[in-house]
Amino acid sequence: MSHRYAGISWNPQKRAYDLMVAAGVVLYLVTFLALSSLLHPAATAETLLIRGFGSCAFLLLNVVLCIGPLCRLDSRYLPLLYNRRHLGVTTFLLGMVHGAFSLFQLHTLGDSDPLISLFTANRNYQSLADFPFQPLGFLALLILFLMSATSHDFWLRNLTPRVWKSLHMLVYAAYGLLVAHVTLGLLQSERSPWLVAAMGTSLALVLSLHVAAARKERELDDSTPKAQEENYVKVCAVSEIPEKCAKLVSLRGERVAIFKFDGKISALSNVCRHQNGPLGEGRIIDGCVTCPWHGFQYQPESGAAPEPFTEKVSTFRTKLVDGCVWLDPHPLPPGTYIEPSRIGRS
Amino acid sequence: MSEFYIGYLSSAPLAIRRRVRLLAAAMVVFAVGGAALFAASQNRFAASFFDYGKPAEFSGSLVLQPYPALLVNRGMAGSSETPYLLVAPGKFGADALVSGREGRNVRLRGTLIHRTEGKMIEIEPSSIQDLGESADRKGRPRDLGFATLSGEIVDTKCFLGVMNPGEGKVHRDCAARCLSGGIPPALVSSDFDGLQRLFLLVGDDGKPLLKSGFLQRAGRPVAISGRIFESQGLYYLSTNEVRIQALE
Ligand code: HEM
Ligand code: FES
Repeated sequence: MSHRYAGISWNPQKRAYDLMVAAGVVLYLVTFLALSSLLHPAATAETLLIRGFGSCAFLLLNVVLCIGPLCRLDSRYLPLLYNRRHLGVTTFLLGMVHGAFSLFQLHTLGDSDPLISLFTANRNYQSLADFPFQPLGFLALLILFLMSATSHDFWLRNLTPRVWKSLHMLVYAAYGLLVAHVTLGLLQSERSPWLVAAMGTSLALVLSLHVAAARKERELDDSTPKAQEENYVKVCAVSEIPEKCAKLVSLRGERVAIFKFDGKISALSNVCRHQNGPLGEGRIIDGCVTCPWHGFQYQPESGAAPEPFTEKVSTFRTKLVDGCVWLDPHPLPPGTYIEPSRIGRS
Repeated sequence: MSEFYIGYLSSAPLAIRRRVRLLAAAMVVFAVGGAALFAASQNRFAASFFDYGKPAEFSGSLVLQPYPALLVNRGMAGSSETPYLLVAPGKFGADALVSGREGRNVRLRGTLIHRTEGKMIEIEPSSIQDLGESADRKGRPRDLGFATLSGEIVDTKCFLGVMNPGEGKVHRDCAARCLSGGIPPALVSSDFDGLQRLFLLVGDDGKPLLKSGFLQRAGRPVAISGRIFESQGLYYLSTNEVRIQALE
């Protein structure tokens, strides 16, 4: 939020979050390794470590991908989103251990450079069933590395939120690569139907949550203004907006959050300057619109963050006619002060 | 009005704290359940072993062609010799380590690799001591006829125990690397007499088969036709590139 960046700014919630993630990872690895060595005494430690770390990373990636749509569908999951980047970094680290072990085990101590061997040991690129699945994991690891390396807010600001967001959309490419990595790799030689079922279930869950969340957003974007007059469009009744909360409207594809607070109405762009969080799902706390994702704040009248912060979002002109909110859909430059419309004085 | 979560405040509202507790419990179930499911549904691992970190001394007479092996006499008079295939550390064959010592008695240090289908030693380089010419006369190879066997081409080092699984599609990259480095190639098949056996692949001339013929076929089902013979307790399949057919 400020000009200065701490390495990572810690707080009790983040600590609790990270503790839970670490506990989950350790629990998974210990259960897998202990049970595997019990059930399969002939298995080598290397194979079990490769499998434990790889599957843990992949499961975690599934969780990471479910959090976004889950929060759009139900705001009670927002605590999961708050520190999602640490989940992403954890995924990368686990994937790296898995990849490094695999590379060492299968490609070193031979007659070729290990990284070259990774791409050339199996040359059946033209075949589906025999496709070299390991390079797919390598590419996914590269993407996860890029995302982890740029996950700090320092990069968010220096790359601009748009570039940063596009970069982080690559997580879907990584996911696709990894689904192929597992399907063309492990699932080709393991015979248990449970593994296929687990893969199918996680894929179905990730996809269906995304479809459901997209459908919900689409409903909003399809809503059309009820009436239009000069520069203003009629968007909703004042009574539809809960106190200290917002109603979201979508005009020409631009989402606007209309807030009601202390007998006043103000309209702001819905898009948080931090990571594009939905301000319209936030609250007014201490007189400021507060983003539901990581708590960045903006003054409702001007769209500017309170001193000493410098983020600004666009504001919109509003007027009230017969208990209804009318909105001028032209965004004003970020940070422009607009006198709020006063309820009961229209 | 539903409650609102702000991460940087030190405590969250009650409804959200409840949900978080529920999520924590779900995570425990998910982590333990997922790990148990994966652990339990893995294929059975073969009983193959690599005595890593426990090298031992072996002595016997050396055979170099087509693939290096040590014939160890277990001491009892008249008992047959046990063949140990020889390989170098890493993904390399032992040819360079033993060259020029055909028919010599040697003592060497190495690490045992073993599975029902065969035994192998990973030699410690420079541990080989020459003990002189071997007095044993080698028996003639036993011709077992012409046949077509189906199975999988493996690198014998990983298959016999250095990796587990040391076969199958997932292991294919490593097999290609090992075979390329001179680890003896073999077909694993139970078509000959119902027992799963290793058939070391050799050319029609009895010499090592050209690598280009099998490198990209390792780890996949194949059928190979050729002449089978047995020599000093090892089975061989002499064939050529053309007679290796992909199945599937
Ligand atoms: C350099 C990169 C990578 C290499 C060389 C690699 C190699 C491998 C290999 C050899 C296997 C089969 C292991 C076996 O079960 O015997 C495997 C499986 C798998 N890999 Fe990777 N991998 C890489 C990156 C990744 C990454 C980044 C992830 C996930 C974030 C991942 C997830 C998995 C999963 C879930 C499996 C199947 C289950 C398991 O064996 O763990 N891999 N990979
Ligand atoms: S997106 Fe992070 S605070 Fe708004």
